[in-house]
Formats: sequence, structure tokens, C-alpha cells
Amino acid sequence: LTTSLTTLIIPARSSRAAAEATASPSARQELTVSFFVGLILFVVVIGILDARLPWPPGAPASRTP
Amino acid sequence: VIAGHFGLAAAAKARAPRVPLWMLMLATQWLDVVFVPLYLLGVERLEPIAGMKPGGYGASMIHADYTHSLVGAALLSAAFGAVAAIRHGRRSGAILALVSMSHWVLDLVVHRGDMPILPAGVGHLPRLGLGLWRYPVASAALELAIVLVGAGMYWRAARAAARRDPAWLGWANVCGASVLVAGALTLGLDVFGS
Repeated sequence: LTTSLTTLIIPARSSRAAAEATASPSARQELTVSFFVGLILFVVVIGILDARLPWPPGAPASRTP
Repeated sequence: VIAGHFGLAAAAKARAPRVPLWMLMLATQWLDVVFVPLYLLGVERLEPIAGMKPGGYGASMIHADYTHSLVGAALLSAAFGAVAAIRHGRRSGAILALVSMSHWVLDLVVHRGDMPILPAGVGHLPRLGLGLWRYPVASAALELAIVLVGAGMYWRAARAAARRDPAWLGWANVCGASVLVAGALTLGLDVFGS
């Protein structure tokens, strides 16, 4: 177990280095674009589509598509 | 990881059909949803990896020392599940908390040893991460596999839900295909959009 845990742990840079680190504006933009596109697609669009289905399986449908 | 989390939530919907899909999708990204404002405020940071394109797929050390610490993620997940349980019941709340915590587990596989155990890295305990992002093709392939399996499980469950009324089968196919396409699009944006 100790060996397994050791392989899990990869030394990271110091917290001071972390505090000094900043992402460029382009990196920030890339992060937000893919994240928010995914969030809007899955939570809003597909969430609305899915909510119309007669879940759970086996339950009688009370409305039409 | 973005698309992989959504794929995992789609698989969870197949196993827990009473939980609303949009809540599973929100739960699976909950840690990142909280991360974004902290990132914009400068509380949590991305550190570009030397020699890699800034903003590229998996090309950052992620210093999300509150949202992506083991204890912080557990607290955020428990809070999400507790609030969800008020409306959707304890079982759904517990499922949503587990899905939220799955975000940390999946991130553990790819992060480069930047995930602390305690919030803010208190105690200077070892930071965790298997570092699969060192091999972008492998990590992208893993995400794609999770998306394909999750979308497949969801699609099958959606068709099963619609089976009693053939009028719903078309709608189930629309939903299943949408999960698949949205997963591929999100993964493509993450990997090739940078």
C-alpha cells in the first residue's frame, strides 16, 4: 500500500510558486470556452431534452413527445 | 477533464433514472463551477507548464487548493448533495454527492501532483495526481472512452424508458444522440480548440 501511495504522489511545486503563477489571457479564454460550452450543452440543452422523457423506465408516460 | 465528467454523469443517469439529468450534469462539474469564480478572483490559479502551449489540453498545473483538495471536494460535494436532498430526497442527494465527488477521483488520474489533501494545502501534506496529462493522447483517449460508454449507457436507458410508448422512442434517440454529440464536441473543443 505504501508503494502504491508513493506512486500516486508526485512532488508539486511550492505554494509560493503557485501564488506567483498566472495564466495568460488566452489560456483563460480557452478554459472558459470549452468549460461553458460543455456546461450549457449538458446542463441546459440536454437537461431540457431529457426532462421530457418518461423516466424512470417502466413508468407510464403521462404526456406525448 | 471536462467531457469525461459529463460522460460519467450520463452513465450515472442510466443507473439512477429518477435523478434529473441536469442535476447529475451540474453535480459532476460542481467543483469546477465553484473553481471558476475563485479562479477569476485570483484565489485559485493555473500555472502554464514550461514548453507547452498556454491553455492547451492538460498543459497547466492547477492550483485549485480549495475546490480540488480532497477535504474541500468532499465538503463541496456533501453540501451539493444536502441541498439537492431537500427537494429530491436523501437517496438522490447521496447519489448527487457521489457524482460530485467523482470529479475529484477522475481529476486525480490526470492532474500532475497538484491536488492537496487539505484546503489551501494546510500542513504541507503530499499533493496527489497520477499525471496522465503528461500523455495527452492517452488522457484524451480515456475521456473519449468515458464519453462513449456513458452516452451508450444513457441512450440505452432512455430507450428503455420510452419503450412503453413508441411515440417516445424518437425522442429518446434525440436525447441519446445529443449526449454523444455534445460529449464529442466538448472533448474536441478541449483538446483541439487550444
